[in-house]
Amino acid sequence: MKQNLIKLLLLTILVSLTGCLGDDVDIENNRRLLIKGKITDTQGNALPNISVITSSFGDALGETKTDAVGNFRLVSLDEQFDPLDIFINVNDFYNPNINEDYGSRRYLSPEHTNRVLYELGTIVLGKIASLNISLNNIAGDENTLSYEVKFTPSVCELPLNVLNPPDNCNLAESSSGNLTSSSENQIVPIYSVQGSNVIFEYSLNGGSLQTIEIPLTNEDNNYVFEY
Amino acid sequence: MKTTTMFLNIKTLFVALFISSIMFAQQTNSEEKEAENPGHKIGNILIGAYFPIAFGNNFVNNGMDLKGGAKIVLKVNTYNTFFIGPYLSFFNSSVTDKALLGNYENTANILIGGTAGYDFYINNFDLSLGAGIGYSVYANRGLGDSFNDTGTAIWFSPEASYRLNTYLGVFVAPEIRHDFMDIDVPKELEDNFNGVNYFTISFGLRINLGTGYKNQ
Repeated sequence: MKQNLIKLLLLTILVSLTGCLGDDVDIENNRRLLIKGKITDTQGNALPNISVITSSFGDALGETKTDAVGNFRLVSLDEQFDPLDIFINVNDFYNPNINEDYGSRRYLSPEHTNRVLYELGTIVLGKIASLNISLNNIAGDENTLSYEVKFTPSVCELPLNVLNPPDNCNLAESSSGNLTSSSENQIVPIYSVQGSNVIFEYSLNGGSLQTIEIPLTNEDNNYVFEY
Repeated sequence: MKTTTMFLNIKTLFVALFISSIMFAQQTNSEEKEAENPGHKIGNILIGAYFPIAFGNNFVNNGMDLKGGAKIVLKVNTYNTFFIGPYLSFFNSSVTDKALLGNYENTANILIGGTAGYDFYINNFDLSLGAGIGYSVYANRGLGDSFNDTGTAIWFSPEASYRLNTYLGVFVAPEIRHDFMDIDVPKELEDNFNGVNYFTISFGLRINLGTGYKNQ
């Protein structure tokens, strides 16, 4: 009898916890949003069949794909309290790009608004490109290296529902480091888009800042820097 | 003896004539009474299937697959056979184009309102013309949540019914209906979301209330 009571109690707690973990999306009554725009590649060619998703904390409120000429027009639900995010060529924060050949965009709102129209204009998605920068320490030179790599990310995050938002992610991300004469050789991996340039800024032994522009012309690129 | 028999026959004839005349007189009185008191026509209740067909450029016609439903109407005669009464209908539908409507699965429309009109009686047929106004709710479900789109509906509906007996008949009623929706959308979507047009067909049982709906 006592065991049964304990089992019943545990089951009740389990059911309650399941309820807490459940989806708590609150869709706004009597409201629809319109999200529209066009998606091209870096050459201006229309990109068909690219996924466009509106989301609020992981709940997809609307979903469509670009048509044959790259246009999309999506009617979405709205969340009552949570901010709206718009994902281009990606499901959410954690998944890889749906079309793995191209980059993606995430438009992220800081807070909920009553805005019903989102005209995103022409969105340029570049083809994915990777760059491995090899930083090789030449034995006997005893140099130190400070560097910063600036690049256009393949996954571009832009703010939504803010004043004067940027319309691209050009050179929006960076990676930096300091290497000594005793450092091992290193490879700095960069995930960017074809057609963009990677800016490699460095300073040897605390000297003046030098800049190297590395164009990403291929899907896989390599650059070797020796110090 | 012959004279007596004849007298008896004539007497019998007069008695028969007298009884017959009384009978006829009573029959005439009964018919007159019936004509004078045709019974009460209080109204009727319609219960039946309800099949909507959306038309025009609107979110229901462009992005939903409509299923059947049901309706129930109570018509209470007021002056002569002018009627008023409450009206309830519902139907289900599923979302077929989420890019046009938003990411949800299905909806149930419920219309609660009032109707008014006039009934005509032709032999065993009852014809009626009615119109109504009501509150239309689209109870939507999707993403594990429910939410509503609401509006005001107006409709016009002729109706024909056939009396099976005093209290029971069958009816068929086409209906033209427009829902004025309250959905907040950008200007570009107003044509699609501001209203829905329906042509609907309903049929089913008509329960007559009162003794005045006699078969002819």
